[in-house]
Amino acid sequence: MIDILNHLAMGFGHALSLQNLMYCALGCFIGTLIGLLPGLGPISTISLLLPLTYSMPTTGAIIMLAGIYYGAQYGDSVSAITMKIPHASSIIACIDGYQMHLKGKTGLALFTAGVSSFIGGTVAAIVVAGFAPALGEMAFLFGPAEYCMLMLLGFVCVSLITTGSLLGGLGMVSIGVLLGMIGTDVNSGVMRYTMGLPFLADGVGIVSIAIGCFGLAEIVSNLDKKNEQTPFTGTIKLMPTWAEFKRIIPSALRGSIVGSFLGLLPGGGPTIAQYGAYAVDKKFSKYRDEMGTGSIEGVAGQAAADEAAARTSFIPLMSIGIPENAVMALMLGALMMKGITPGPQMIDRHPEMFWGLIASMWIGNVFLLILNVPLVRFWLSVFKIPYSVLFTCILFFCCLGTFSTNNNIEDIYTTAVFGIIGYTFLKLGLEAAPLMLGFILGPMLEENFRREMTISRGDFSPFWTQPISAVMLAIIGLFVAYSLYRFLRKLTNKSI
Amino acid sequence: MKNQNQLIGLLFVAVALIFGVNSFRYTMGSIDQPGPAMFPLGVSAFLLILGVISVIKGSMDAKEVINFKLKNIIIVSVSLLSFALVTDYINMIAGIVVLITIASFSASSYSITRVVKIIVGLIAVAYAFKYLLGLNLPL
Repeated sequence: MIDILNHLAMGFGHALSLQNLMYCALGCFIGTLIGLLPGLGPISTISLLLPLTYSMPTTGAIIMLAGIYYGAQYGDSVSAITMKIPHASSIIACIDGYQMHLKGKTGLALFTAGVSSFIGGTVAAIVVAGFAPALGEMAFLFGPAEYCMLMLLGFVCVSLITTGSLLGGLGMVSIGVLLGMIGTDVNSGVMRYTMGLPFLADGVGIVSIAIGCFGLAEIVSNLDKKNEQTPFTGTIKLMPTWAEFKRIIPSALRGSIVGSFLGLLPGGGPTIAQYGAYAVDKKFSKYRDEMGTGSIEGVAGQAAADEAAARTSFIPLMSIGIPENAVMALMLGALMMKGITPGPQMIDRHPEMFWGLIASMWIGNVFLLILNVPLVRFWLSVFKIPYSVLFTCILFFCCLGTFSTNNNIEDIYTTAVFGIIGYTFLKLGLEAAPLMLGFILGPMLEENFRREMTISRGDFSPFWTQPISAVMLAIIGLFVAYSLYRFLRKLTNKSI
Repeated sequence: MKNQNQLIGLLFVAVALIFGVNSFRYTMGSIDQPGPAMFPLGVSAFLLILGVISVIKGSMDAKEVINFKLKNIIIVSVSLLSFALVTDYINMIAGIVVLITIASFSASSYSITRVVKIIVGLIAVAYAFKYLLGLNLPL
């Protein structure tokens, strides 16, 4: 324990200089500004701003990157809450966050997101500081069978993230899984469902689906309603009442725990963590009946999980040198450019770097809370323009966001097509969040299922003979049985 | 006239058939060596069942009108598609002009001066992105 505190003190010693704080503030500031634009999420923001750090000293550069990352992530949830235009890590914020916005509680939603991500970040920082070397090994405990079960567990939770019918939710998950099949098959190299279009070889971009199904569909539906008012009228009240504040804490803590765990798994990270946290809140929160209609819990849990997972996903990168998602791969690139190769020896050889990073991530979080959250209302006043002007600008930024993800203009075609698809879904009362879940988990499920089948030569028994997998299978079984029981009870009650 | 559940069911069936039928173009493999076709076929079959259930469920419900307005969604998608096409063949400035000109038709009123103002503003933003942030835009 004393060891850890010593290390942390050393880390803060390295990170806390006036110059570094300036870098951090600057990173947070620019990151939020760019992340605020619809469609531009952490990945595009970091890759955009990476060159800014080339000429800086190492610690300063990493602190600035951390600032950019958190800034972008916060900015991203701002666009999800206020415009319903998410990026990969803020899909869930579109559900309750946007509902809160429609009820005129924009300020409260933004404050909740800011505070919860601070809580998530702090919890995860403690996890990272205390257990980083040991937890790195945890990724090795998860083989293909365990992953299959984890993904299936995710699918079973779909009933918790839909507000509509279960049938519709399951259908949307399946469509999401099928959409995830588009592109090159990782096991055999065969192009599936690409219709001979070369730009689909890498699959459909998650940004295209997110912008199309959420953003474009929402814009068109606003236009249909001749809803010309600007989303940001008058002043935005940021501070919550004490009663509201008390609701943030438990939900944020639950989210932090879920996020810290899911962040450790390769392929997981913030995108999956937000779903996990939402499902947990929907099951255990005192206010679970309000969720889906604009409840504080729906924003707090996912924001905390998002942040916690973003933080703990550094653990596999630092301890075994494996980046688990695109953002981590970019961070790895940035570290290597500075002459640091993350891996098992990093903690021994560059302790100042490792602990400095942990400290600077936390400092980035603090900056976000004290600097950006209050500032955000000024950012939003930029949007106090008529909707007829605003929506054209949003469309342009959606195009820009889609384009800058891969520097590929053809992705915009995909976005436009998903706009039409998303609008159809909206009109039919189908929700896009389960679709995204299927799209994210589907390819991973397929890959791991096929891997497991190849390893076990077509034998299904590892799913219930391996301990971790068996536990998850049991949870899935219990959950399905419980849902079936409730369904049957409802049916018999009705018939009486 | 169909009701919501029937339309949802038909949509599910259609998607299931598109992906399911096309999966036969790839190798099926065996259970110990699954090919690229197996997984999508399985998921399509599941979706097909859900679709059929939804259609049956819907046929028991009353008919209702689905409020599907085509005008705005067509304008918005066409504006995005033309933005991508024009940017690809000419450059992004021409793309912005086309995007805003077309998209503005879906607002309740159309004003040329407003469109010109937005275009000028966004071109300035695009330049700022390119030269201040180093975004690789084909201006």
